[in-house]
Amino acid sequence: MDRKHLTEEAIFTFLDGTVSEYNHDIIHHLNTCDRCRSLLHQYQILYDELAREPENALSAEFNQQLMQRISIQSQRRFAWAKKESLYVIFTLLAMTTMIFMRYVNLHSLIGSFSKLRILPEIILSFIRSPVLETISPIKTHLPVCLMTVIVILSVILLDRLLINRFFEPLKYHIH
Amino acid sequence: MNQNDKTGIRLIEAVQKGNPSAFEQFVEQYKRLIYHIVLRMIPNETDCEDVCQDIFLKIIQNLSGFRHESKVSTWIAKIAYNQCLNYLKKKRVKLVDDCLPGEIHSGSIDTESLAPDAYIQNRDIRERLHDMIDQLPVHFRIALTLFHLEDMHYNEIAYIMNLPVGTVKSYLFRARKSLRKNLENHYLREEIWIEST
Repeated sequence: MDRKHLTEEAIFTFLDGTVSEYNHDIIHHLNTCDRCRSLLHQYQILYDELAREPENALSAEFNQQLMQRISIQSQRRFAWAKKESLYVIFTLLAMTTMIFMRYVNLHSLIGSFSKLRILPEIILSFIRSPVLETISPIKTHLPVCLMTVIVILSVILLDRLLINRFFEPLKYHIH
Repeated sequence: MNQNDKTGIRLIEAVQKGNPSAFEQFVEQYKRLIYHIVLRMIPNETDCEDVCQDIFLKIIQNLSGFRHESKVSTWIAKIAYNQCLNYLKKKRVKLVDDCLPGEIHSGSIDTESLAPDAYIQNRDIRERLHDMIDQLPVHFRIALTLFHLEDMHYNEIAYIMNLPVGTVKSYLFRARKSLRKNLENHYLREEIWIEST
């Protein structure tokens, strides 16, 4: 270490304060070598300057301007989200109606509503029935499955896209 | 986890609950960090404040995305860094640039304003250094700022810049070496650099 000059990497390690087993050797070398001491000094000045706070700073109105921007953006998003919510709800209603009309027989549905009071009996007889396989699973369950999926998707969509994302900034817009 | 991190997490939780005063505290606590990143990455000062505001808006939108995987300051710095990169891409600024020591020339810097007074000499070094930093590629500038001004570790800088730790070390090494060499080239003639050491 005494004979060779310090590498710049060694000087950076020393200045960065990184724990090094060679730190003692570096200090010893610096005490005896003018060239390396001068280099260390130059880098020390560079480090000090790099760590110096910039003279220019954000304007005093920055916070106020930021709040105003958040307020304007929130209002725009709120208006957009309201409109968008209506579109989503309308589309979902239309899709549900179409599926309902395509797959469900309204007359039998009304009839089945009148039989609601004997529903437990129907369910029990259905469970006990040995001929479950005779019921077409696609025809019976597809509308229900589709509607369930649509409802779940719409809840996720409304929650993720509209509520979390767009209504969040509303909390800060009135001061 | 230090006190700043705890405060940052507490503030994020309060902001998520919609506490307006917490949001103001949050802005107050992190605007310095964001400004430093923006100032280093976007030399045009007129756009700096707008970009800082854009970053805060982005942070608000992504508050629920903070997963406590990193420090709050690191997470914010990453958002700020990415937002500045997007801004620079829009402005078609050359981002992928590699600077070797000696590539930055001090020829364009005026040398007639030097004065013997030590304060002025220091100020002169500072100004010239900042001119030289502004001429470094973006990745070098931001690595220097995060390390020296924000006291961040190599792994935090690597996370923010989405680079390997070795690359960050290399950027820092080459940037410092280049700056010192250019300062030396510039001030050797004037003997200020030597005198001040």
